[in-house]
Amino acid sequence: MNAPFLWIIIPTFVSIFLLTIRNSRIRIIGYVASSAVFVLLTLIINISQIGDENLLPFEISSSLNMLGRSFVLREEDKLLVQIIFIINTLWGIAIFVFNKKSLIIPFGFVFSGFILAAVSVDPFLYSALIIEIAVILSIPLIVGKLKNKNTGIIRYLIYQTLAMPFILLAGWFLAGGEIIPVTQEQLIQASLLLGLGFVFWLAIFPFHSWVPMVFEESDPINSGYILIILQTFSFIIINKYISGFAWLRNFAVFFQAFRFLGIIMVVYGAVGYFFQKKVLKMIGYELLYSTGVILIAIGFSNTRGIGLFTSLIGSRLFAFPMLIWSTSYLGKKVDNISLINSGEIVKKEPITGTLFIYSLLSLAGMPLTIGFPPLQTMYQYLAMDYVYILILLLIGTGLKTIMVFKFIRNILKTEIRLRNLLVINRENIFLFSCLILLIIVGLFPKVALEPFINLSQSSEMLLK
Amino acid sequence: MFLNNLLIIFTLGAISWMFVSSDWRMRLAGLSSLYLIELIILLQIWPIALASVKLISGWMGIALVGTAKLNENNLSKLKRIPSVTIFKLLMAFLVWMVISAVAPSINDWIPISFTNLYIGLATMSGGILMIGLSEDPFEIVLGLLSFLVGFDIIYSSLEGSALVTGFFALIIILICLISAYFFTDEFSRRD
Repeated sequence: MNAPFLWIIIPTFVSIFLLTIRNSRIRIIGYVASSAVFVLLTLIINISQIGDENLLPFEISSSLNMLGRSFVLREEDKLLVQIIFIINTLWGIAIFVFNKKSLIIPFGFVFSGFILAAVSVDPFLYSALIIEIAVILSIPLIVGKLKNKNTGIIRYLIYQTLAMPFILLAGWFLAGGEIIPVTQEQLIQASLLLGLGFVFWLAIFPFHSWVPMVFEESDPINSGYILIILQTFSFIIINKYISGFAWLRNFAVFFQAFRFLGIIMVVYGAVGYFFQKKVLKMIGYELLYSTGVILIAIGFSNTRGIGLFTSLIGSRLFAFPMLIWSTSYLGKKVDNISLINSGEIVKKEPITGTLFIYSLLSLAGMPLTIGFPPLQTMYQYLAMDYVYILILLLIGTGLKTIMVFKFIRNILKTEIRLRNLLVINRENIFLFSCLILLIIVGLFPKVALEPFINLSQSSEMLLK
Repeated sequence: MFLNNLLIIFTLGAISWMFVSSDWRMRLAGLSSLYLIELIILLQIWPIALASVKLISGWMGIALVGTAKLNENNLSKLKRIPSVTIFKLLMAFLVWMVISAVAPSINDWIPISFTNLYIGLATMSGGILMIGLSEDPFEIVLGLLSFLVGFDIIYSSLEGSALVTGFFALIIILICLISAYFFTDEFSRRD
């Protein structure tokens, strides 16, 4: 037995097995239970390095060989496995509670399996191919049956497919550079190719238009699941690329480009967010904004940048799913959620509305929320070295905050009835638990974000 | 030399045919000939067993797309305005001229046979034009597949790996399966 077999291949077979179950409730319960078991296994089982003797009965090897290449999940990669399967578990619960019909159950295991395979493939240059497979497999999960338009989803497929060739070619360039010393010209060529690949991958301006469209065209519970996992792991793979090649991580222009693209995304995402009336599209702009913030963090190119990167990823993983779940549930009640009717919706669903507002505040980095410490730290770092970026980031965050206050203003205008607040059903219990969790992690962010520091293990060379 | 020139002419002909033809069967035939050209190119540098994977996966994909199209309700031929076709063709020729001009300098970056590079770039650009100039899912899928054929020709000339070949075959087949999903969705919507 080895780690990739346990956490990549077995979940895929579980997914196929779950497909044979006709009763949707049993299928969801099976999905959530097996996902929770995979999380538990990360706590019980130790992963030994290649060639190590197994000392404990619960110890497995880290490598799986396939077609002359290997997939390696080391002990330090367990956090990635935990993130994937915790997301799967919680998403399964959310789908069950909201009584949604989603292909995430059971295909989420196949998608997340490929994402884990992309992170674990050795040499990691091939990760672009596996990400592409995951993207293609995610299309049926996103496409809504009753939707009339799939333009955004088709664009998603196109742009992600266009990313793959650039990253593969850049990988070939970079691998060559490890053998023979590279010239400045070759360095620029490789950086250009890699940069183009990343731009397509992360939906960076001007290839970003599909993100708000995808959220509008599908249920956010589906698109949110795909995009949060895809983006988080794309960032981890990008860090692996930068960390893996000495001549790339010493190339200052590359990091300047990250900061530049990051601030473009922050401003663009915030402006789109500010002028957007539809909540579904707003989530898309929120994702673009947070992509920009993380890009700026990577652009610091040193230990503090990587530390900040892990905190930002962590805070986003806490707040973004809450926003998705609350919006998805509100979407069940009202066809078109917008700023204009937000007050009326919250009047009907006060607990969901509170979670929605609190998650927006968290993502805007308001004090006493999980988003505050990383964003505050970023302000400090930027104030030291890059004042212009700081000003633009503050403007972007300011625009987002104004928008959240507009929502609050609309909610305050309406009269919330106490009987709506006291409705006890499984949706409200779940969403109320989420709200309590978000408040607690907001009060104790250090405790909540500490486990994410291990994400920097994949970029160990950047830490030196 | 003669074979190389012939391959380039056939490639440009196949892509032009995909632009001009209004019958989806003919356009799939154009795409399948691109896969055949890819096989002929790769046979010069790869063992036949590995090279034939490209052809088999490509043709399997085309069969999937073809089956999905056959199940579509509306099988009438696409009505094409002649000026649109002429515009697309002229645009393709313009792009190919630009590629002819820049290919030698790209060849300094990517040290592979010039024929392979030219065919790869021409096919990729043809694919991008198809994607960019249409909103029809079928045309977009054709464009994506052409783009991937072009890239595959270039990348396979650089590196021969069984894992990459396997994943690439999977990607082609999955894209075709997904396209079938889009067509079926469109079909059920019409109902």
